[in-house]
Amino acid sequence: MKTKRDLEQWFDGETADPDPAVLEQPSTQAYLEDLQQLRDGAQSVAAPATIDDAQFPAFMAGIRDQLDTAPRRRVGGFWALASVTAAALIVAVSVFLVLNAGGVASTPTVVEATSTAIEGALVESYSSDEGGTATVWITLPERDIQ
Amino acid sequence: MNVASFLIAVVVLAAEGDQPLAKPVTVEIVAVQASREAPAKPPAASPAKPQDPKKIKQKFDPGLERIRPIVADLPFDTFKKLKTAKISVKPNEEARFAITDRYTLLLTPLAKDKEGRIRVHIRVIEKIKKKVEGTDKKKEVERQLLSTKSAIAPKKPLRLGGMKLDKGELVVILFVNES
Repeated sequence: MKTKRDLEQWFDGETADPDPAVLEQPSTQAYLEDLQQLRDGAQSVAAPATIDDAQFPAFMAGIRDQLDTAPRRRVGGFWALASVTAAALIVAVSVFLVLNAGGVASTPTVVEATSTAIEGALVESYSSDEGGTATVWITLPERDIQ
Repeated sequence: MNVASFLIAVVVLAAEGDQPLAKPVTVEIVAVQASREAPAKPPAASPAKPQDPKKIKQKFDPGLERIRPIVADLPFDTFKKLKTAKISVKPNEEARFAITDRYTLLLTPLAKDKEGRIRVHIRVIEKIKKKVEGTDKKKEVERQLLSTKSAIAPKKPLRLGGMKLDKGELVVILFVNES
């Protein structure tokens, strides 16, 4: 066979078998594979899926069933709201606890009121520079009855 | 979301103001005799005012390690342990603790404030011998030396001082925590 056309004609059944020596050549085999692939693709396009007359009533009945089916009710709305509310509450409580914990750690002891029944005595109160220990100190008069 | 906002508001508002104490509080008392053994270096400042801790080398009895930083600013160089105790006191009940034969401490837990501090009422009572008028006799009476209302934070003690002893002065350190 001299040309690819000869191969094509043989492939289409229009000519006799080619020279076996030519068929064995790798280039010939590759071209024949290409032709087969082309034939397969052409055949798939040439035969699309169709609905014949006997199948048409069943086809339309299926379409009507899908159109007439009522949409499913959404039952997840309540639980979604409850989940969001619970998550918001957890976040709020966590933030409160974190802020509160920080406050306790740095809060100093405070002396709010002092008094003495000893005439002439002096009661003083103060806190340390670091705001930790608070002190109440009494100074008795020199002429105390002790 | 309105429900969440309401609950958040409830939590925040609940934090305002004192809360009643639901459980007894634990009170740790450390009472020491504070004195100055070494010669005084003039001028000696009032014990009521803080001193530079670097100027005085202080000695402590065993078991007083915890209060070393708490008394470091006082103008005393020797601290002897008189009494230590850990007691449980019910809310709004007055607990009586005899520090020495002469001094008694009374403590009443009142409430818990919004900062987490325990508000307490503390009184120190002293027994003295008072002369009976018209006689040479003396009778023992109690007098209230000092009274204080304080809000004591966790791990932040209250220090009481200025009460005279035969030697030195009485210093009392109080720790108050929820049980």
